[in-house]
Amino acid sequence: MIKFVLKLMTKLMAIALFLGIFSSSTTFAVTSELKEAFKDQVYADPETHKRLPLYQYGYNDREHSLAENVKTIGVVYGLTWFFYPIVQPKVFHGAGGVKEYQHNLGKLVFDQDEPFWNDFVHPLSGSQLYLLYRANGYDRLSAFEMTFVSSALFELTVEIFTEPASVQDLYQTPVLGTVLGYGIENASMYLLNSGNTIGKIIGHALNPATLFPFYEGRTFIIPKYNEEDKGAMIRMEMSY
Amino acid sequence: MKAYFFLITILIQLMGSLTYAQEQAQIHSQNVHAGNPIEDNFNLKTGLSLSRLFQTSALIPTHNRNESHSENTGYGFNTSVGYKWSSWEVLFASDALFGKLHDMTFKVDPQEVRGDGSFRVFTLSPLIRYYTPYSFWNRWNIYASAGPTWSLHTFIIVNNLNNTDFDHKKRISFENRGGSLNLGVEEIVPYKETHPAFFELGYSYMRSHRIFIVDASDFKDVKTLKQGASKDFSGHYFIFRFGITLF
Repeated sequence: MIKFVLKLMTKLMAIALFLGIFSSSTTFAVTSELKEAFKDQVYADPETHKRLPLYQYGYNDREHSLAENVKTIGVVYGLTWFFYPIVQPKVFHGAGGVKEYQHNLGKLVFDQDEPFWNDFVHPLSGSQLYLLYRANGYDRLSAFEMTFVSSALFELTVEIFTEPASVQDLYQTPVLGTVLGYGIENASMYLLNSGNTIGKIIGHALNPATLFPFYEGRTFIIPKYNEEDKGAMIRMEMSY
Repeated sequence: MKAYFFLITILIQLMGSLTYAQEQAQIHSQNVHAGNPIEDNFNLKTGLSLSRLFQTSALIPTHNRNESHSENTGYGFNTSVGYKWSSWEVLFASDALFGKLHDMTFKVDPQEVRGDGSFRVFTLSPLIRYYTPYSFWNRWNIYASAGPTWSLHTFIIVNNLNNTDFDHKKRISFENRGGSLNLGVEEIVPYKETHPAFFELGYSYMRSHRIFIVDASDFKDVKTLKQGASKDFSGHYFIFRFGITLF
């Protein structure tokens, strides 16, 4: 079991690392651009030689149009079609398939899976879906609703390649996922805004959605200390 | 005698504090009307559960009354998703409970399997909840809820007591139907963003309608070895739940 978990974690980390590097390079470019634009305006306090953290993390809840909702759900749904056969290679080895799909279509059962899956893996994936939607500007209720739609689509139309849709997964993925996501959201925001490098690393690891370009809650803070009139100001840039 | 007077005093105190609190109970709904009704009426709750389960397994046809009983304590967590009007709420609630099993016998054709081990329960209930106009100390609103329950009861026999050929990697699982009735109190607060707490006592009854024997040797791929109709298992449990509204 430990071997399997390690294997699964390695796969997930590889995917996250790939996507993280991709988004980090974009972030790096944006940061350099901003630094260049504001290089003459950023001053440290001459007495303490300190300045505020560069970024403040949070969530900006906003309205989404129906078209935007459909598009986002569509992208996530497409990704589940891409990733499911990778996580469940037996789909390629005859265990699943079109016949199995037809047999399972429309069925709803209580699955007999171990608690590792029903109480850990599914809620964990639900929490990351919830955080993904939160990162994209959905408020908590909307993020829960989007998580419910996404996980129901996956459960009813993708996972049936290998097993019928289950009552536990339909309920626990979005509900326990949102509960877990709510906790991760608070913990990661605390860590990301702690100003501590290790805290930031753990914060991003817990909530990888904060690394992606679609994350709308990052605020760029530029402290400015004016020596002449002994005044100070903070300029904030929202990264939409 | 002293204990009796103490109990009477406590009861009088409680009766005195049981005030008519229609206005307080409706503060929330007033806020709902003032703001976004969908956002404010919706709620997601979570908390911990502690239960006492009474389980009965019929060994040969029930009319002969040859049954095996077991009483166990279960621990777990609860969640619910609901939509609230001023006094009524419609919700989906779920419990996941885990516990140790002590000496119980199951009829698994053609043999009887007796042993110790553990159990786990997953329940799902669509409920209707009514918030009464009464409260304790103007702070805790009394409510009651009821509804049908579907559950999955899974038993893992680790210590086989009658030496039957039943591997500890196998599970005996029952799909049950039943109902539940709950009585509880919820903290009266003007905004749900302040995470109102709740305490609840519930009773559930269930009777099996299907039995499954599954092989969990490979935890990634649990296989169903046998399944069929069964009314051989029944149970009821008292449960104490406490938790908060997340949002």
